[in-house]
Amino acid sequence: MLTFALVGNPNAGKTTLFNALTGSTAHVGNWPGVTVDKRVGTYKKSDEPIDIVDLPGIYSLSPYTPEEVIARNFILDERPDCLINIIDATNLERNLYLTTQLMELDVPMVVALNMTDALDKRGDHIDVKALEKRIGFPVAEISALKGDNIDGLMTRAMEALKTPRKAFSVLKESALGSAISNAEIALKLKEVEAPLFHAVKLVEKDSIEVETHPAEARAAEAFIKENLINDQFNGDTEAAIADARYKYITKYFSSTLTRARKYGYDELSKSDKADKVLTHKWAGIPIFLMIMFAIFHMTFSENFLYLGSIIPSFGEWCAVEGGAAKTIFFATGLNSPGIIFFNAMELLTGSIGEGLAAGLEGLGTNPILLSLLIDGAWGGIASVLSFLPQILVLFLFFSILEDTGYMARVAFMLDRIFRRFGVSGRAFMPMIMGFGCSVPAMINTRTMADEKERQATVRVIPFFSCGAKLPILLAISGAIATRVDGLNADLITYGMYLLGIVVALISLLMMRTTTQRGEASPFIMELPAYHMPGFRNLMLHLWDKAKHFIEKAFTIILISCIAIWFLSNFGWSWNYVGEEGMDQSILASIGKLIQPIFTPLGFGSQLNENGWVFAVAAILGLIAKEDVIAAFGALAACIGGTLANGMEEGVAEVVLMMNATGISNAALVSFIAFNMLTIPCFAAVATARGEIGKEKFKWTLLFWVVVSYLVSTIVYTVGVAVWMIAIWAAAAVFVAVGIALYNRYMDKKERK
Amino acid sequence: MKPIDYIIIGGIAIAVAGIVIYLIRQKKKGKTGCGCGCNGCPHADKCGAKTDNE
Repeated sequence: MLTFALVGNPNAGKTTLFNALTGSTAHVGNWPGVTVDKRVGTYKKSDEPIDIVDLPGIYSLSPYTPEEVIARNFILDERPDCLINIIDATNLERNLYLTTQLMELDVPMVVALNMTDALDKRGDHIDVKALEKRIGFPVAEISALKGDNIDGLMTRAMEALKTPRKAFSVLKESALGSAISNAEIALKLKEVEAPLFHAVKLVEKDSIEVETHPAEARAAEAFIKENLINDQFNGDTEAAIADARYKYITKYFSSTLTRARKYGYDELSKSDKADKVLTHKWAGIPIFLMIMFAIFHMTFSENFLYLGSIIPSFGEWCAVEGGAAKTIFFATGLNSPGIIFFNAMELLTGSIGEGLAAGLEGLGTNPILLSLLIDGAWGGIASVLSFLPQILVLFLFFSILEDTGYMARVAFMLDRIFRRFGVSGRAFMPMIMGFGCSVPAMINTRTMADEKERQATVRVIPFFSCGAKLPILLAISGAIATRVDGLNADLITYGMYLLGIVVALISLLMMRTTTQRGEASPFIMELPAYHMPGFRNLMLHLWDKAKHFIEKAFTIILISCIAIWFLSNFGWSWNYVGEEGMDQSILASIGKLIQPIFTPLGFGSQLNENGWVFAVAAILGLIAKEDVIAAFGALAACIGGTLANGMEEGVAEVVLMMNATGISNAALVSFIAFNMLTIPCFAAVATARGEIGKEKFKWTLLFWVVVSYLVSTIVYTVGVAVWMIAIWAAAAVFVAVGIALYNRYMDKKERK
Repeated sequence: MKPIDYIIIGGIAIAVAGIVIYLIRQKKKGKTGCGCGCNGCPHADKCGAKTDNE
């Protein structure tokens, strides 16, 4: 099967093109590092299927970053049949720098000139025919986002295969041309493949080439010393070569681009004008926080735009119970879009549950089996599924921020702050991925060059509440809001997200001054122009998320709920105890055994005889975080009492638990904090173990347990007695002084 | 117990067995990851794979 590789600068549209060619739904981010490694798909529209490999975005084929090494090794070692060099037409000269290096390989190649529609909007124009003539191989205009001329590109690529391409270097005309020719001859004698490419790299003093061909490297260096006159680069051949490449690009390629008007040096593009506000030195971060709050408000608020508070009569009308339609759209005010979808989903799952129960009862099903199916299995799944719409709404907003290019700016703005905590803004990218799922976020840390900085980032990623923790947040914050007048669920949810971020930053600071000492690494990143996200890509991404959330609900969550039901309805002698005898169940025994551990956190021994459910739910969260709410859903009927009318699924179960156990609001907030910060799910644990290494990983587990326990204890104790802030503050000062002294000692030791 | 009860018990047993087998197969394929599936994930080939740290 033929193999074509997509290669180009970050943000040129490789992944978008990959999606268009293969139909995959890869996530498109606007900063380097979203595609860390190659991905393979299949193009099926040609006579024979073609493997398409999406290489990481690179600026050159020099081995300075993992992405460059991965792309280079793939091209040289696996020899794809054709290279598709995707170029951002709006940044022609910078993108062609890589093209001039790819030209030195003897692999068939075609240029995909992307984003020409964006260029046309500016009134600029590229003479594609002229560019094709000067480059020496096919150039196809495409729009990867709109899917324009994608098949045409592949047709040109297939045609390129028919004519063998001779490697060509733009440097042959330069002062180093002779040195390159000599090195090429020497490598040809050694029968090295792609001798021209390796010759150029040798003259550049590329570390891999020097190590592989030391004799030829020495010969090249000697030749240059002897023959190069008027060396303005003082022997820095790499700089000389870069300069020569750009001179060639300017001389032969830039003239194919016609600009509608001359841009002045200080003339601002639309993106620049937007950046003046959005990345303002002082206003940038508050604007970001406001945008995040707006997102949370649109996802979780039951008083959208606070209309119910601003117009009291409207709020009173909303609060009056009505039919199903009214319940969906109104609560204490107008519901936010996220809550509207949530209510609609809850109505659906509730109807399904009722229908299922009625049907099975009509068939004369055994009451125990009925309880298993309705209370156990469906009760648990429904309580999790109800949150799917809100999770999708949240992801939609995050995806929009990401795809427009805004998140790349946020990483830049936060670099200034993150440095004070010992990491660069580059760490923000995996962290923001952690809001979706910790697993790919931890893997994404491989783009970080400093190993200690990377490991510290891996450790704090679970503190960024992933999508699986949302049901816990939403259900409990919704339940707390029913108890406290004037308090909205969106405020509690936003506060918990902020808590996770604060804990992460403090943890980073402590690690970077003690066990993972070091300075933050430099952070250089290309900021792409702002652009509207592709609707299709957004929807595909959401569909993928929804599909796998539902899959998880009907696999791991379902099994967990069935197991919970069994353990809570049967005793140690496998006798059925049911709701009335739940206190004698296996689960209750285990729960009561571990319950005291959580006493400092507020949901331990201080709760009544039903309080063990919180301890059990917290432990079940280790399997999958959704299991916490699924456990409440499965146990709600067994605990007894009536689910409150008119309340959302999930929230109603938590309210029932609150009433049945006597848990306080402070303990509930502590429960959220514990689940947000503790050991993440098994999948994330396995990934962290792979990233950090077996030896250090046990300390990471301990770290998560200690942080979650400590923070939850602080939250609970301060919630119960505000004056406890003074004691915790004193303890924090004591620890800070200790760390500062240790830091000073280690600085002195390192200087010696 | 009625016939419907036996059908339900059988159905639950098959469902649980099927899910367990499915999860084991997913793990063997290296798709233990985030549970979000690998389709479209830029880290699909890294998830569950051995790394340099090991």
